[in-house]
Amino acid sequence: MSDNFHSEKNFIFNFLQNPEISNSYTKQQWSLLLRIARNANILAHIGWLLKLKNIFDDAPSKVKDNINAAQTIVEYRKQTALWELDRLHHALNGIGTDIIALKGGAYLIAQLPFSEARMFADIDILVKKEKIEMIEDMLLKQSWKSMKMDDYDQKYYREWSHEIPPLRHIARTIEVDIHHTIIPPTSRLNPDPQKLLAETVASNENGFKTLSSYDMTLHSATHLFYDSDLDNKLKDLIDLDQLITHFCKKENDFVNKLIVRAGELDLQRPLFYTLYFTQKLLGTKITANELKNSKKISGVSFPTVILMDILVPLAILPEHPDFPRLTVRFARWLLYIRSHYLRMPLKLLIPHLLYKSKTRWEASKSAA
Amino acid sequence: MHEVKKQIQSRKWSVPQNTTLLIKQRQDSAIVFHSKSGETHQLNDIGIAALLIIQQHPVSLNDLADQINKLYEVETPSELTVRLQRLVKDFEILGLIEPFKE
Amino acid sequence: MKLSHYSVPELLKKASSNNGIILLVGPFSVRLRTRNHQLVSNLRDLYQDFSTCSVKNQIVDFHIDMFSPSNHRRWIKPQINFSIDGLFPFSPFSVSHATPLFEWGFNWCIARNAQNFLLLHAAVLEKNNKSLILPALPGSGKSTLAAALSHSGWRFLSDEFCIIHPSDGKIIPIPRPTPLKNESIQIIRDFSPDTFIGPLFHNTRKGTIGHLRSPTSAIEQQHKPGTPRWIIFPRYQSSSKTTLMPLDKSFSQMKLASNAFNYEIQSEVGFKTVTRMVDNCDCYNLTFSTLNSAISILDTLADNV
Repeated sequence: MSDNFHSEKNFIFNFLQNPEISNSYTKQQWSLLLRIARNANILAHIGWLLKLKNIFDDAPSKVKDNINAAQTIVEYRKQTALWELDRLHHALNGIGTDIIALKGGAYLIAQLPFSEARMFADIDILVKKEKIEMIEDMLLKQSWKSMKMDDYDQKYYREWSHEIPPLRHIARTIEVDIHHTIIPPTSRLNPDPQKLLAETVASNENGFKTLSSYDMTLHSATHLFYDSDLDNKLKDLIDLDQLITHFCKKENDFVNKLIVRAGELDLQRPLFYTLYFTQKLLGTKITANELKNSKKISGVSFPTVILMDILVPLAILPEHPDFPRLTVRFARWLLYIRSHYLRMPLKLLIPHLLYKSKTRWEASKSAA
Repeated sequence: MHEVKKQIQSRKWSVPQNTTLLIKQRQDSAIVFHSKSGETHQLNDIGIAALLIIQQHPVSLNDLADQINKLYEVETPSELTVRLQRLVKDFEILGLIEPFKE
Repeated sequence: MKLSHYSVPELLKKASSNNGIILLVGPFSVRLRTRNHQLVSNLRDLYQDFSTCSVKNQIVDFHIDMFSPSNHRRWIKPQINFSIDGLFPFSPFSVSHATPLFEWGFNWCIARNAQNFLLLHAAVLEKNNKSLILPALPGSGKSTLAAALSHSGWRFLSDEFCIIHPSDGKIIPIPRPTPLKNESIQIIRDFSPDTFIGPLFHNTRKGTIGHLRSPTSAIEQQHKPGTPRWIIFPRYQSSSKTTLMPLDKSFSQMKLASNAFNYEIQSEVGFKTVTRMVDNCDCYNLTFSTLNSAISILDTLADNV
């Protein structure tokens, strides 16, 4: 392999689709894999894939050391998350309403295999809208605090995106985000929360519930393709590949049923992008028919698919740290605008973007 | 008021299920690692004795005071109970113990 | 091949290329890329006994870049950046402070990434095959004492990080240059006139800094792990009597845990590692006012084992 990454554009995707390719890696290729994976927060996941294929022990000792270090951080974050869920359950005991764990918390509670080596961030929970104030109140009385932020951010959260700012217990560092919908209420997509709550699944853990396998997948799909700018979000795409692959083993005809459910929740578009890009970039087993069906009911136009086909891989692909490309920056900027456009009406979008870029410019000026 | 006080003292405490406590005891003190929270605590002799008793089986504040008294015989029973009440409250806040549900 | 094998122009040429210079330091491998002549020259002096190799022969832990900013600070009051894989953990430094920036950045990389070890904030020395751990507290005189010991018959294992391998509790040496601060610089110059201290950097966030090159023998033995035997919390106190006071082990264990960079992240393994260390070590507070009296008392401790 030459050191020129661009001749190996699919380096990371090739590994993810077929980890045994690393049996013939040079030292330079291993170095590159470690760097890219660490930056993308998937280094522990790489280790998990190597262990699944029984080739972890054969890897060079430096690779094992770096992966063990990443796995140690993952274990610590998992423990922190589970403890926070424990304390939330303790604090909200007897509250008389369902509390649903979302995203990483849900994967941990449901003990999905890939959650073993998945880097965790913050806790997200879903509750009924009318219960939010009471829950926030109960937590604030038991030493959780609303995250300090300026008046603009508080207003943004409460009035514009109809959410409350994250909470954090005074003795701990993990943030708790309480939602009443799975996508910001001001966005163009509006999956009915009642439909989600009707299909929740009880778990063994701490009285928390999780979304159904279909809704869990659709939430992740919507979060990636409608609530984020895709910047360096390979990890989220991997989550989707893992969710779909896992549930396909557990349930009959999972993908087709997923497409039906997406129709019920009006989430056909994010699901189409999910099926299309997990199949294309990570080799997820989606049949041509399933893809065709999903595209048809999503109503995505041909030109849009072409455009996303160019932008998404550019934005999602982790960059070679030594050779950052302008095309990638441009693609990420376009998708950043897109994600905000999808998240809020135009009349809020422009002032919001102006305010955010002004604060960013001021911050960079003072650092210089 | 008296009834409430009686209730508190007869409530039983236990260490929650699936809790691992790693304990290093040295003479008069102990270091405890609480696996669920990832926190490490240093306890004196009475503190570690109380925690070990609660870990063995659910126990009320009164019973705890009796058992500790048999081990140490250093304080007047009422002072010990007050001290243990504070200790049990601290343990609960830290998540080391919880009220036992029969 | 040792770094000293290459001239500064040769090293600068390598450092300016895409492949950079590879440095093997303790358990870590670093790739450094920079065009700064002064930095390369200083590092050649301070790391002269460490090995370098071709990028093809080494899997790299830290890919460090030190380049000028692309804005006007390239030319006007010139600055230099420290970055690792596109991350910039620090604001730019004045270009004349490139060497201390490299050292602090290297510390940052270890503290952030080396989570397969327990990392104590401590100096480590060895005598009679037994290791002495000196945990760091501000103003304790740890670095000065460690530097003096390393020139008094003790093997130098580390100044900043006591790296413990959790599987066996052994200490992994990383005998990097020691950053001496302010008065300590002259103290060590007086104590050991033959040692090499690099150029002085004034007005850094820690005052004036000069880097002490580690003894060649320390670097030659860096692959030999250390076995912990004493944990001693040093405290420099002028005009005091030098005393060594035994410490309660539970107290020492909590103090050591709070001293570690990554005790919480290590979780259960961290607890077990620290417990084992304290079990196997004698723990003391050391109050001292002169280096010679401190060294004398520590020599007696080492020889009585």
